Amino acid sequence: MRTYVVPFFVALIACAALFLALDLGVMNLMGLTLFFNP
Amino acid sequence: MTSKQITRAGGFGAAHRHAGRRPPVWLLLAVFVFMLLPVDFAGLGAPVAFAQDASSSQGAEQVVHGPPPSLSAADYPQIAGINARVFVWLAAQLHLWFAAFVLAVPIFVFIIEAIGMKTRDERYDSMAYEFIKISITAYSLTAILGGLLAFSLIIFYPHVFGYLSGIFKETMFFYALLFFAESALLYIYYYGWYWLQGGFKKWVHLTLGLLLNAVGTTLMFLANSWVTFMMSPAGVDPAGVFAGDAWAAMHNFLWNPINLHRFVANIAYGGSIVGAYAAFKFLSATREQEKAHYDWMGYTANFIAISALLPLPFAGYYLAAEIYAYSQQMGITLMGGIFAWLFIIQAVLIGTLFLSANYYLWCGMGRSDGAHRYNKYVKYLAIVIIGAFLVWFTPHTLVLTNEELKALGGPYHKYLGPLGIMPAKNTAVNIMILFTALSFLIYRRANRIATVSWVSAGNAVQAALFTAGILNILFLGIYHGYFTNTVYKVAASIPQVLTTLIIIAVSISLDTVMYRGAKEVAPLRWGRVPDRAQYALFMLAVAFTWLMGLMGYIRSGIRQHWHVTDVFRDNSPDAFTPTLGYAANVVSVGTILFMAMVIFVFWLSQVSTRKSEAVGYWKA
Amino acid sequence: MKILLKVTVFSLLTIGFFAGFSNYGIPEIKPAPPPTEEKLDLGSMTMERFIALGDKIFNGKGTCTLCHNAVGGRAPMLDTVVAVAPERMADPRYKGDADTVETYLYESMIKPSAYVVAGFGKAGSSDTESPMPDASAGSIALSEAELTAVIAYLQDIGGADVTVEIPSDAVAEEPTAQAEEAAPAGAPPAPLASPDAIMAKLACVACHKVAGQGGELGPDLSSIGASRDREYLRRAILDPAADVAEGFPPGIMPPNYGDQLYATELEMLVDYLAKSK
Repeated sequence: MRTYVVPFFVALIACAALFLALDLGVMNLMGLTLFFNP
Repeated sequence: MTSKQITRAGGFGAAHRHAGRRPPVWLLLAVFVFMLLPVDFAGLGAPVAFAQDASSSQGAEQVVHGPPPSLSAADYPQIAGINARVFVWLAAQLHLWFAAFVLAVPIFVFIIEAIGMKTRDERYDSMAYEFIKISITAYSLTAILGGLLAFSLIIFYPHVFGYLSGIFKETMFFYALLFFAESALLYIYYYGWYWLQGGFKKWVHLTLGLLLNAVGTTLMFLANSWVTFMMSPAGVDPAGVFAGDAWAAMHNFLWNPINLHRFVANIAYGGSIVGAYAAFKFLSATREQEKAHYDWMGYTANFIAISALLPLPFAGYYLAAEIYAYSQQMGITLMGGIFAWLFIIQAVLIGTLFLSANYYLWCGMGRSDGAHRYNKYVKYLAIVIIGAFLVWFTPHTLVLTNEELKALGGPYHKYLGPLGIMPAKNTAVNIMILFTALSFLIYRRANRIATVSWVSAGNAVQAALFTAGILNILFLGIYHGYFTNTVYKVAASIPQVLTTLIIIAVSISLDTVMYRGAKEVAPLRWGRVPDRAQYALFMLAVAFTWLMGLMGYIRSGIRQHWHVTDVFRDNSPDAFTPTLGYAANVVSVGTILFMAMVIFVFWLSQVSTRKSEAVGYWKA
Repeated sequence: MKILLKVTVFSLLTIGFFAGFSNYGIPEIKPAPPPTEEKLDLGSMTMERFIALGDKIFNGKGTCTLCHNAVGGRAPMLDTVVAVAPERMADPRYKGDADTVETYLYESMIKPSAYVVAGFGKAGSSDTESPMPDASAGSIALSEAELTAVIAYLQDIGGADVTVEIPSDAVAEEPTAQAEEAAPAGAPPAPLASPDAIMAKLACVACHKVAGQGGELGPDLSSIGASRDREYLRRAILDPAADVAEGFPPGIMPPNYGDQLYATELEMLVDYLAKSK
C-alpha cells in the first residue's frame, strides 16, 4: 500500500505543479494572466 | 498487439525473416527529392510563377477576370424533374466521401507497410495489401463521381463555374494533369505489390507509397482552395475582380484550416470504413483463421480511427476560430445563429462515435481471460463518457435574428443553459478524449502483468497524472469559463487541450516502458469477440459518414445566398438556406447511396477471387 | 446474404435515428429567405413610417441584432448610443471625423473601426479594430436611404429628436418631373376608373382597414359611411389635420392627396366610402 500511496501524492503534487506551470506559461504567451485581471 | 502476441495466440502462420540488403539512405533521399520536384512544381510552385508572369508583363493591377455577373433565376439552366441544387449537393458529397476514403487508405497502408518492414512480420504486409485492394475500385468510383460533379456544375451553374475557373484555371489544369501521376502511382503500388518484394525493391515500393500520398494530398489541397475561396474569398477586390494572383486566391483564410481538418478527418474516416469492411468479413467468416484475421483487421482499423479522432476536435476548433477571424458575422451565424442547432446534432454524432469506439474496445477486452480483473472499471468509464457526452449535447441560448427568436420563444433552460456554452463543451470533449485514451490503456493491459520492480509506483504516477490533469481541465473550464470574460474563456481552451495531449503522450510512454517484458496472463485470442462488437464498427462507419455529410452541408450552407461570400450573389431558384430537417434528409439519402456503393465495392473485391468450374463449356 | 440483410437493416436504423432526431428532436427553424431588393416608396413616407422602416432593417436586412443584442457580449447595446455618442466623439481614441450624433451614427455603420468601444475589438487588436463589417457593402449592402432610416430608428429609441431628413426618392422624383414635362407636350393621364384603383394608387390599406382588410394606423373605414357624412369624408381626405379621429395620432396621414386626385376621382372615393356602411 505504501508503495502506492506515497508515490501517488508525490506525483500528484509534481503533476499539479507541472500543469500550473503549463497554464501560466501558455496564458502568459497569449498576453494574459492565469487569474482574471481585467 | 505486437507480433509476438499474435504468434503466441496461436495465430496463423509464422513470421518469416528476409535477409535483405538495405540500400544507403542517401540514395533513397535523392530519389525521393528528385521525384517530388515535379510534383511540387505541378502542385504548388506553378501558380506563383504564373502570377508573377501576369503581374510582371502587365505591370500594375490588371483585370484578368471578373467581376462576376449579376444573375437572375433565368440564368440557371434547369432540367425537368431534376432539382439542380440537390443533385450538385449529392454529387459533391458522394465524391467527397469516396475521395476521403481513397486518400486516407494510402496513408495508413504506408504506415502499416512500414511497420511490416520494421518487424519483418508478413501479416502486416498482407493486411496493407488487402486495404489497398479495397481502395482500387473505390478510386474509379471517386473519379466517376468527380466527373459527375464537374458536369453538373457546368450544366446547372455555368456562370459560377465560369467565374471560378477564370480565377483558378492554372490550378484546375494542373489538378487534372496530376491525376496521371496519382493513377500511375496507385496502379504500380497495387499491381506491383508482389513484384516489388524484398530488399531494395521493397524500399522502392514504400517510396512509391510515400509519393502516392504526396500526390493525393496535393490534389486535395488544390481542390480545397476552390471551395474555401467560395467561403472566404481572397485575391479579388470587393467587386469580385481578379487581378491575376492565383496564389493569393488559393491562400485564403480558410484554406489551411480546411487542409488540416480534412487531412486528419480523412484518416479517421478511412479507418472507420475499413473497419466496417473487416466487421462484415468477420461476420461472414466461417473458419477460425478467417475470424482471427478479420478481428485483428477490425481492431487495427478502429485503432486508426480513434487515433485520428482524438486530435480532430482541436482541428475543428481551429477551423471555427478562423471562420470567426475572417468574419464575425459568419462565425456567429455558424455557432450562435441559425446553424447553432446543427452543432447539437453534430454533438450527438460525435458522442455516438466515441461511445461506439469505446464500446468496441471494452468488448475487445474479452479476447483475453486476463481482462476480467479490469471489467469492474468499465462501468465508471462508461458513466463518465456518457456524462461528458450529455454535457456536450446540451444546447445554450440561440442568438437568433429576426422572427426566429419570436418563433422559438424563451431562449434557454435555467439550470442546464450554462452547460451549453463553449467552456463546458471544451471541458466535456477533453474528458471524453482522456477517458477514451484510458479505455485504450486498460485494453492494452488486459492480458498482461508488468514485471518491472516499480509497478506500484508506476501505476501511482499514472493515477496522479490523470487526477492532476482532470482537475486542471476542470479548473480551466469552470473558473475561466464562468468567472472571467470572453478573451480568457477562449484562451483557457489552449492549456486545456495541451493538458489532454500531455497526459495521453506521457501515460502511453510510461505504460510502454512499464510493460516491457511483461508476463502474459492469458493469451490474446484474435477472433474471440462478440458479434455486437462488429455492429459497433458499423455504427462507427455509418455515423462517421452521416457526420461528414452534415459538416459538408454546414460548409456550403454557411455561405447562405452567396456563391462566393459577399462577392457573387446566388440568385438561383434554390438559393434559400434549407431547414435542418431538410438538410438531414438529403444527407441521409446520400449516406444510403454511399453505403450501397461501398457494399458494391466490398463485394467486388470478393468476387475477383471467385472461380466457377465451367464443366463442359470449353472446347477440349 | 443474411449478414448483408442484418447489416443493411442496422445501418438504415442508425441513419433513421439521426434523420429522425434532426427532424423531430430539435426545433424546426426556418432560415430567413434570401433578401430581395425592396422598393422604398420614400416620396409619400412620414417620419413615423421612416422610423418603422429603420426598425425593420435593424431587426432584418441589416442583421444588426445578430451581434447587437443583450445575450452575447459581442457588440455594445444601441438603445443608449445617442446619449453616449458625444463622449465617444470626444474620446482621444476616436479616429473618425463626425461632429454630430447623426454623422457619428452614420460613420459607425460604414467605418466601424473609427471608434471601437472598449472590450469589443477584434481579439489581439487592443480595441483598435472592429469586427463589425461595413453595413453599406458586402452581404448587408444597405442603401443610403436604409442607413438613414436606421439612424432615425436609433435616435428615436434613444429618446432623442430625430434629426435626419427622409431622403428624397430620386426614382420617385423623376417620373413626376417627366410627367410635368410630358403633360404640356401630350395629353394628361386619364382619371382612374374605380375606387379600388384609386385606393391602390394612394395605398390607403397601408394604414386603414377597408372592407375588413388593411392596416391599423388609422381608423377602420369598412363601415365609415354609417357614422360620417360626405362633407366630413371629403375634408378628411383633403385636409387630414382638420378632424383627427379620437385615439389616433395626428400628423400621420399625408396632407397632399388633394394634389394627386382629379376632382372626379375624389368624388368617386368619397362616394364609395359614404356607401360603406
